[in-house]
Amino acid sequence: MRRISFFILVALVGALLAACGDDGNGNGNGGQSAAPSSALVVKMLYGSEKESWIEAVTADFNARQLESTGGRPIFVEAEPAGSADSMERILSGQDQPAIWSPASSILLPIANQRWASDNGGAKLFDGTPPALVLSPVVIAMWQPMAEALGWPQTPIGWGDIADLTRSNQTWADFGHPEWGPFQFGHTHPDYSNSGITSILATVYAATGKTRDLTITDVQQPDVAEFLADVERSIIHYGESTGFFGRQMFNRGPSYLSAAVLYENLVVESYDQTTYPNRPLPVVAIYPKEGTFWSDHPCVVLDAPWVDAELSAAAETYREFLLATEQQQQALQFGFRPSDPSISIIAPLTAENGVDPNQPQTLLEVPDAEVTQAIRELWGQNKKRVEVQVLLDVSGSMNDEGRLVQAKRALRSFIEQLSDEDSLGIIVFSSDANELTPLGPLGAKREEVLQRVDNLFANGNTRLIDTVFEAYQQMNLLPSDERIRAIVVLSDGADNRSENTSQQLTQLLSANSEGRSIKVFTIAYGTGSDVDTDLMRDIADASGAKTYTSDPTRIEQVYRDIATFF
Amino acid sequence: MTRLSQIISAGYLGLALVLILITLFIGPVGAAPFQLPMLGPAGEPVVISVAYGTEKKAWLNEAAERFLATNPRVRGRPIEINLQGIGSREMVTRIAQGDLMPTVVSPASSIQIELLRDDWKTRYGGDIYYSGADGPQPLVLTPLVLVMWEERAQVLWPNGSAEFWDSIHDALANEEGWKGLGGDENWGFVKFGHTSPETSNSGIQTLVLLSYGYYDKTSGLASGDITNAEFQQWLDAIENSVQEFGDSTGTFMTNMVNFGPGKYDFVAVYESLALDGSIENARGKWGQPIRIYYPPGNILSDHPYAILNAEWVTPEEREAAALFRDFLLAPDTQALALQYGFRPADPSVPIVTDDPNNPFNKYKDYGVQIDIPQIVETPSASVLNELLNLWRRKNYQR
Repeated sequence: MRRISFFILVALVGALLAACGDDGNGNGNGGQSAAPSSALVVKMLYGSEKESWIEAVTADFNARQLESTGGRPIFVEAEPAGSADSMERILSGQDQPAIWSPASSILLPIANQRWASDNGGAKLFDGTPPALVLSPVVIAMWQPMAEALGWPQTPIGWGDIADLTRSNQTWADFGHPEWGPFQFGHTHPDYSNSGITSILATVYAATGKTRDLTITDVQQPDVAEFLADVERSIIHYGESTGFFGRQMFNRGPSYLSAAVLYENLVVESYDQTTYPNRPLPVVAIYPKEGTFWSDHPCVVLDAPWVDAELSAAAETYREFLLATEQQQQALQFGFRPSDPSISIIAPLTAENGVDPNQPQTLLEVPDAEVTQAIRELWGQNKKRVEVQVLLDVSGSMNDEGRLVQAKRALRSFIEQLSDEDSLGIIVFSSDANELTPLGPLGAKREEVLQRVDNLFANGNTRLIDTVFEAYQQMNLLPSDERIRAIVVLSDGADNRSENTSQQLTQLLSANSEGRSIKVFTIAYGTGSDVDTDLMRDIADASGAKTYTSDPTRIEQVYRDIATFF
Repeated sequence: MTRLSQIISAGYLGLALVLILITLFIGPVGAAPFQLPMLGPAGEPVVISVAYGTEKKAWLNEAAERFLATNPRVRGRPIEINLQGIGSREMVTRIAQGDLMPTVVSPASSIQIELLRDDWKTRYGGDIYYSGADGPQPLVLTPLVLVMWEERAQVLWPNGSAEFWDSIHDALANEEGWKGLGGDENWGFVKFGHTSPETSNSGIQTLVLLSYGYYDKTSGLASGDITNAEFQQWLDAIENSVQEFGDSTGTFMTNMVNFGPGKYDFVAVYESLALDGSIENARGKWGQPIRIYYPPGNILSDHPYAILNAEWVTPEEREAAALFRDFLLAPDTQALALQYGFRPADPSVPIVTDDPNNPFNKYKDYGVQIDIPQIVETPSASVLNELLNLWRRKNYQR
């Protein structure tokens, strides 16, 4: 029953997602060899959480060169993508894969329904597609911190996390002043499945319920207050659950105390090759009130671009993924196989921070209207952002229409910010000029958009000093009320600064807290002389993300950055 | 013409007939050092499609493989089998709508066979099945059971399961969940799962057993019983507590294993699904005892095999389908079904054997019973439809 209604929510969410394509990490067909020219190519779009498993087994599948019904070797090209994003790409016809495997089956009914309404009632797929692998949503926490909270003797729940953040307690209250504040993270609910589950769970905790949540419950004033309190401890949002995991495990407990992740990411954190420097062990907390599952359904599409031969080939690949050998391999990547006959064994063990006998309780997926109400409530009570945009307007920005595209992209970036968010813009070339000072966007939105439209390009590139100054200025602001971020776009190498790149990265890495200022960098332009290494170093030092983009993709990059707020 | 030549020609004819029959049933006979390729359409395979309830997938796949290994032929043409697993109820609904056109249907239960017969007659007139030898025939049997975490069953039925369905009703209606019943608070609310009666046979069977359970009888379920307001109120408490109605019982049992007690405290599934190893897997995965519980009045799924008397089925396909059916009913194939947790439809094939891998031996400790105490009377198609309409009208699925 709730299943039906939940997909209406997903429709609303999905509508926001159409353009968040590349995650900026260069994801694509990484590690895959090219298809032989005679091959029948089977394309798959899949939720990026299972990327490592899919890459491993797909390489193996392709090497086998199994024959299609038409006698051609079958070659699978698998591309990771955000789950809701991939749905939009298929429904719009932008992508035409034969197989679709989002992180969770909650997206399936809406995909079928929307496809049917656009295609004269035809179904996008038939029946109930099989789950490939399973993983519960967990709260990942550094083991010593979990132990300080009484884990594992005392079960911990969403309510405890909420209480921790609401009472303004720090780790000092648990005997560890050296750990600083409690820093929490979950992904953006408008983009990511684990983000939605986080806010649903928080509202459940606020009401003390585990099912039968109503709109009346959601509308209670203390529920809004509760949610706002919890969100205050968020360091930033983000589109990808995997990115959150990587940030946490690489940057350590000073960056994030805990985050809402999938269980498989906790297991993965024990992989020494991926995380040689993980500072402390991580444990999966299965919230005592209950949680949700991600089940990775595998759909062979019944679309016009999938003919009988392709469909049969896709089926062959799906059977391969479901065969014992590949299912067993999924264990190695921290997933629970969907094949019920395979025992859950190492590495899904206590030594790797997880408990295969959990979760013992689940939260009910609420009705669509209720979930929609919670999403709106979150929109009103989410953590606000303080963002300083630094835009290169040096002469080379005239090449290949770079500035024109960047202005358009910046405009849609600004449109995604809410009135309560704070925005400043500095443009730099031979020197830096404040286009608008940091301040609430609501009152000045139209004026700012106008000023952006009127920009033109001229002069040199004073990159390092501009970032340096913006950072120092923003650092004077309080750190706990808002997400603080700087977004730098440049298409050239620095040729006007007094500070060196070392001085800048030292400044940025001095504060390794999750609440520190994040400097997102965009190395812009095709064949421009932008220093991509410097841009990466700046982003890395601050704990943010770096992008390389040409003018055609810049709007997507800004959209991706907006998911962190 | 003499008697002798008549005898000789009759002999030749007889021999030819025998050879043809052997060829048909067993494959080509005799040595042929100079093989000629089969020419023309005679070499084309006869393809039959079998739409079947997913619960018997493993057995049917294995049986089909064995059948094809015998090199079966119809009128000299090889047979190909296309097995199509699909929810039992959905299968017959789609056939009635002209959306699915298999050679054979084999849903989980005769209930579905009768509902399709009814529906077909109303829509198109005539019988969708043959009568006589090619009419619907049961392949294997399995009762509907509840699979429940043992610890929770002990809280639900502290004094044995005499009040089987009433205890379940009261537990599901309990506002405090397990805590209110004296169970562990961390178990949360009481969570019952069964499939949707609109798409799955076990869903309808559950509704039938619930109805009989409410009236504490095993036969004579009538229209008036379904329209009774008190019964409907009783049913509301149960059905409103079900969070998600699955489509296919097979997937449903898998989910019970994969998602454990967090998702379901107990589910209504076929005995065969528990005995295919699932119950052992569930115990292994979640590290706690789990058991099969038999409702006091039970209902059998008989997995009928019915060749469709429809325009899209050619005489060759009908013959091929009949050959496959006979193979499925042969004692060896029937005994093979045991391995997959099914009870043979052929009463001469015993359920209990000395094979330790026979699930009816192997899972004794999980509560498997050889004898089914009491089978309820299958209600008429009109009473079944009444129940289905009630379920739809109440919008339990939401």
